[in-house]
Amino acid sequence: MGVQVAKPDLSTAAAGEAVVTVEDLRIHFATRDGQTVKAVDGVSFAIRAGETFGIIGESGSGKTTVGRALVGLLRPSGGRILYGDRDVGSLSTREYRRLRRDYQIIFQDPHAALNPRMTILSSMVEPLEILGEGTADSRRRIALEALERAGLAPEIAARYPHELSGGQKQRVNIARALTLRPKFIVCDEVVAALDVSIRGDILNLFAELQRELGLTYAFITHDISVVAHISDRVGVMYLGRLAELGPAEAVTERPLHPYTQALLSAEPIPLPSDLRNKNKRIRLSGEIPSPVSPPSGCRFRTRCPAATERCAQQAPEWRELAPDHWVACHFATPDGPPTAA
Amino acid sequence: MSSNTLTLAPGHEPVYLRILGWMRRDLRGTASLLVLLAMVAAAVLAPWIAPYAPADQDLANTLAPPSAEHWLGTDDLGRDVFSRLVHGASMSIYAAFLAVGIGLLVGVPFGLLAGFLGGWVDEVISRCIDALLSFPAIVLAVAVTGAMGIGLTNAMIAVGLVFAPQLARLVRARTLVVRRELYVDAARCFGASTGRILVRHVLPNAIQPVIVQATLLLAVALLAEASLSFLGLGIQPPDVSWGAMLARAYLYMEIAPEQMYAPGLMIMITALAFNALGESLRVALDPTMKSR
Repeated sequence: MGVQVAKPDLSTAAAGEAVVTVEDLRIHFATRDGQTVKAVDGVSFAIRAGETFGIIGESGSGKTTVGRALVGLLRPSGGRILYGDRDVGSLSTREYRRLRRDYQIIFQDPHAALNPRMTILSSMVEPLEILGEGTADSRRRIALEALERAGLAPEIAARYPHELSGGQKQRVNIARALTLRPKFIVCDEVVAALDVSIRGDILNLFAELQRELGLTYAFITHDISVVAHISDRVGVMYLGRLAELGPAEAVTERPLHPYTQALLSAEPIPLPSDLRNKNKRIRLSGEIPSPVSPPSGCRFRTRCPAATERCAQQAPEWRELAPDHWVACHFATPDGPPTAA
Repeated sequence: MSSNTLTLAPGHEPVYLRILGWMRRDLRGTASLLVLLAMVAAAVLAPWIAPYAPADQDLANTLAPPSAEHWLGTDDLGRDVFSRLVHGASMSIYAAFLAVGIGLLVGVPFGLLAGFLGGWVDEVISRCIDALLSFPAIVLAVAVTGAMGIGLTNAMIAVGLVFAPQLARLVRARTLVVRRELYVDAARCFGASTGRILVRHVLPNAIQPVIVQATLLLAVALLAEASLSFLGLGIQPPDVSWGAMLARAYLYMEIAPEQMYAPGLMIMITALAFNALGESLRVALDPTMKSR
């Protein structure tokens, strides 16, 4: 996509301190016929203050489910989520409502996130209204300032969502979250529903806001080129688990997991075929298996070119093969993923 | 039409201009509103408009055709039909609004709770709705008036209770859709309470078909009032309503069929006006339809 976004200077924020920690998170849904969908099945990571934490995976990998759980829209079936050092599950309703203002989410569909019967202004002042902060006048002022900060003219405040473009609506959603002065924002496929021509603008807005306000992001996407450009660290999800986690550059340049390697090879390269890297595209056979009955052992084994018997019997351990670079694969080495047997 | 919505951002024009604009754009809605306002005015001003008291009898002059003295003729007891129509307006309109009001008051909250909370709350409420809907409406109404006593108010409460499950079911179905909307999730992330989400987000987005249905039910209530009064469970003489007049006229159908025209026509016009207004409201209340 060629989006150039400057990375924030981590030294200004309290780098290293975890804003959100997820420990062995499990989210299971019951289906109508009594089966259990294991959308997220044992995921652990910590998102550090000031960083952009990318989460990538194909549809059905559980990435959106993780994002929704991070802001309390889904209740964990197992494991826990910590805001700072406080376990979200142990908080009283009142404490949680006070704490959650710091943890916001921007959704994929900017239109659906706005109540069609409320003017932009009513939608914008709602978060502060709920918290009971300030007067009607001060809330209005804060809302208009936030709109301006997000690059919108104050005139649009009197309009209804259907009168705005997709990009404008996404800016409204961003501005609305900003009125709460959050620390952490989950960005769930925030540009996927937008025209390609304005994706870069919106991504740049996120980057600017991060620099100015010291925000921490969890950036969820299926688009590896987006993630590579804006993330500090990247987690790769497959079928409800993390396959690999590490610094963005390391994961995209020197992947350790065969799945990451396959994902990267699927990214289109804007070069004539004779100038492209010799790396051949790795074709994964089949579909992502059903999360109702995931494969035994390593979940990727059914599509992995290097799978062996051991992969079916034993789930791979979570190993740190390079500094801060983790992988769940029996045969990965610091030099890279195993090659096909 | 679109030119004035473009030049003036909505919300910035004075109220009277917005109302004038709506009237110009929606002639059918304006006409039905005027008809209903005329009905209400007739109801309120009945003692001054009507040339006779509704119960005044002229037994020498029964079932008379229209004349200068009796504009719409007289009924079987020689009562002036026009005066009775004007006086009946208030009772009929009161009856219709009472029944629908009770239906909404009972049906909407239950429908909202069932749809939004789901689980066992939904189970209990939905089974009650099914049970109530399985009764023939008229039997239910007769049972309620039997228990609470005869009279227009009780009869209309009964009709309201017949309406309530229909409205509850409608609200529940819409709520099931709306509660999954992303803006509801967004409100939750801001810390909104369930009550606030229901009132600010779910209700306004779920109520639209209910408003249309309620105006339709106003027409049904007019007819239900007539039926119950016909059965002697509703309005009691000397009070008069259109339904009671129609029921009375029905008895003389073979001698004087024209007796049914006046009250029947009033019920029809009012019912049509309620329907047309409901449709206009639906359009006017939906911001996504305004600028199209």
